[in-house]
Amino acid sequence: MGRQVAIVEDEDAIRENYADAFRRQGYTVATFADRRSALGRFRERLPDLAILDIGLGQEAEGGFDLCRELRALSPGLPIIFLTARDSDLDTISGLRLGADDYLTKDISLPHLLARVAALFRRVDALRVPAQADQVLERGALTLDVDRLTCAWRGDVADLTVTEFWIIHALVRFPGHVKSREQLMEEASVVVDDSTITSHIKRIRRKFQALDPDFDCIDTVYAMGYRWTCAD
Amino acid sequence: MARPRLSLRAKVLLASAVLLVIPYVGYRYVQEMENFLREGLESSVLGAAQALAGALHDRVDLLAGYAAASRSPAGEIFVHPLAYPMQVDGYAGDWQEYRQNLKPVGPSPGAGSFSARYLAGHHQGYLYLLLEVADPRVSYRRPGYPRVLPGDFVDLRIGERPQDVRRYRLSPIAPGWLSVHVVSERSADTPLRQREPRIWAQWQPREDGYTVEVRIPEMLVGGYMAIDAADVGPELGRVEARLSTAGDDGAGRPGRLVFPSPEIAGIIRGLGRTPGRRIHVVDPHGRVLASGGSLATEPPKIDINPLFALLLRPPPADLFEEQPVAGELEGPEVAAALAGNRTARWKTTATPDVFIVSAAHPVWIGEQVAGAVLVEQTSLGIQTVRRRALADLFTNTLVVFSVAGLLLFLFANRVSRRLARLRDEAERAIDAHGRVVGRVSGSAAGDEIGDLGRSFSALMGRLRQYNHYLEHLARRLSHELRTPMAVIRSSLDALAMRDADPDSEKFVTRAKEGLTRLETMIVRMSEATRLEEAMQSAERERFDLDRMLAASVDGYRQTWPETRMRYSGPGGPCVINGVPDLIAQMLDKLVSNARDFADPGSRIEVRLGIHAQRPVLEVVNDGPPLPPDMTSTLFNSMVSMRGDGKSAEPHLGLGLYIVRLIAEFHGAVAEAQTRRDGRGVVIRVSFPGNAPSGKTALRHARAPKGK
Repeated sequence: MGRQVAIVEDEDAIRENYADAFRRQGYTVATFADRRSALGRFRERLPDLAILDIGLGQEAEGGFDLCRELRALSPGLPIIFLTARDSDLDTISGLRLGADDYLTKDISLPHLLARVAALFRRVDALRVPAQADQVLERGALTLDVDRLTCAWRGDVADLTVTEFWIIHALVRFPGHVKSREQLMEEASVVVDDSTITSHIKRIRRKFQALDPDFDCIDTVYAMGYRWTCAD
Repeated sequence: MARPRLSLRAKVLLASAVLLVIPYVGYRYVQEMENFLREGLESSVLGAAQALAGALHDRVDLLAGYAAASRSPAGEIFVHPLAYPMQVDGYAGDWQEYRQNLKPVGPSPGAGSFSARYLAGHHQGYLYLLLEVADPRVSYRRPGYPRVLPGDFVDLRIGERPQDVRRYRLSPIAPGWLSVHVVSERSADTPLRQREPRIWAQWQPREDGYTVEVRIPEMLVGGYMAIDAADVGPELGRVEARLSTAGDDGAGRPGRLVFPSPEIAGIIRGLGRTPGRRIHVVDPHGRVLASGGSLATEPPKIDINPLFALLLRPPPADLFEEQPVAGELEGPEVAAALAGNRTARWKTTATPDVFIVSAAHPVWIGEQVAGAVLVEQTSLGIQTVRRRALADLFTNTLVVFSVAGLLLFLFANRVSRRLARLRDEAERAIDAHGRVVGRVSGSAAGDEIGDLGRSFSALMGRLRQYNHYLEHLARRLSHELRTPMAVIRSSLDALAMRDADPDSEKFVTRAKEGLTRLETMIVRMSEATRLEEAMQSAERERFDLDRMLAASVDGYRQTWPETRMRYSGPGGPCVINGVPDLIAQMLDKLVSNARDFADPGSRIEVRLGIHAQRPVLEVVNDGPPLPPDMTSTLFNSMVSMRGDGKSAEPHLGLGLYIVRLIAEFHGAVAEAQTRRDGRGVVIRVSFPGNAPSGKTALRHARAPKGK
């Protein structure tokens, strides 16, 4: 495909493994071990997608800074955060750095590749007008599966790819209960139950920011979640 | 056997009992002082005796007469100084004080029943005589007969010189006043014609005889006197028996009248008066030549603590009673002094605690002892000083004790309280699970207790740090492990993505499975941490616990159809303030724990009840009882009951720890107990006081929304 992926990760083994996998997929990969060298290169030439680790060498939040600077250079560039700690997910979400997704490092390579592919697909989809058959509507909710965008009553909800797929899984069959395992699978993540819980919490918050009366995600204790708003 | 508990206060009190030594020592000191004072008094009295003896030393003019008299004691009549004039009434009542000085007339009685005793005294120019005669038959003179029939009579022979005396006859007609007749020496039996009106005499019969009292003006008295008593038989009118102070049945020469010496009395007076001191000068026979002073003293007024006065005997309030002046003094000290040695003697008195010290010192004329000086003094002064000293001691002791006692008590109290506070803080600082929940405030005090407090504080701090370290060991470990595990996973993934031969694929699969297990363990380990972080940002809401639990149990039944479960609720809404997701998570852990331990096929019960306005959630399962030593640590991180046997999932013992975290977040208490029938376990979560249920807006777990 010829697209260039930049991987900024200070752990050599992980970085090289990812780089290998991406190259095998046909991407060009540029690897960096610290923020400075990455930024220097970005200023000269932007990649098509960037995967950033948060802790870069000496800088514990180097990834955040790099994201901001990269965003400043290119508003539409897909950026994925990689973090060792799930606790950072809340932090990242709060920071609203404009990353498209945040994943934990124990994600499997196939899942990561699927993510990247989805993001590229989205970039392509954004260039062309919206295809009607890829749009899912459930009441006030509108999901564009290609563009990976989500709107509530016409307002765009800034969901990450993971969150998008969780919502997608829920609303595909409204009223059906989806267990946490099922949601994890749909979102291509392997996390424990409480991370799913915090994802749902973040999703709720994002919707409630648009509409304080949002109450369509129902917690079914001991079983999972379901989307309760009917069409 | 446990040692009896003696609090600090009690110990200090016991130790301070040693203070009781102080008054004892003080008392001993007072006694020492008293002895010292006594010695002082004795030497002072002895000194006074010596001084007076020195003044009389070689005073031949004053003492010679007495010395000479001592050579011929026979017939001597000692005239005692009387304190008051005697009433001449024939009764010896007013002579009572001097009765010990009665001397026999003539040889000692025993021959026959006729005997007499006499006593002579003088007062203010008069000589008084008391004569007591024992006579079984008293006969009176019958006057007016052609021949006078004589009765019993008494003769007094008085004169300037022994050979030149006048004879006075006391011959009663009847009891009562007598006429005193002068009788010539030569004819003792001539009729009585010449009277001597200046001499008064009274005659009174007694049971065993008669008493005669005579008063003679001193001008009539020479230096010599003899007293004769005659017993006349009534029938014959003849003298049947005679007694005389001069001996020899009345023919003997009259003896000297011995008077006390006014000169010596003057010398005594010249020595000055010391209150409470009495001085006597005696002749070699012990007869008092002069006296001065009095033993009586004014009791000094001292103010004594009334409390003390209660404890002590009252002071000798009444003045020391004046002892009568004896005409003759006896006593070992007098005898010793007359023998030439000066001594002092302590005598007791009727009043307790009061003594008389009497010191006697010989008076020399040349080499001869011419007399002795006797000085007496009471120890009243010492008593007074002693009393006051003891009173002061008592008062001071009381004050010192009170102050010391108060100080000691306050100090003991303070120390005791500080230690008790430290003890309580230390006990509270660690909860039943061994976690450090409180602080021991280090004190700024500069003593050992302060050091102890600071040590405790440091100890708690270190313990807390260690606990913190332990509790976050899991988190840290999981964090550290993630990166290498990411390396392994990505490598395995990369390997899997290459087309590999079936053998390699097998190994890769096994490696991936192992890695998955590892990851699950890591995830579990960090579950608690993530929970803590989630709890920090969680928002509480009011929701119906009853509905949630019922819905959850339904859910569990669907998820695990092979497990029998039952829910029983309080029968109405039970609203609590909390985070529903967390409660759900807690319930998950409780139920999965129950499932792990339940006997196969048995039923798990989830109960919600209200006890004393507190919602109580219980999860009950049949199965093995709890090990008795684990009940308090069960809820700790990484404590597992599972001994042996492999379970499909790696078990880290975190489930109940998470239950405890969530319970504590809600202010609830989690406990695990073996069931009363011993055949299972109850895990109970008691929430804080019930919030009123009602019509406030609730978020339901399952609310149908129509849209």
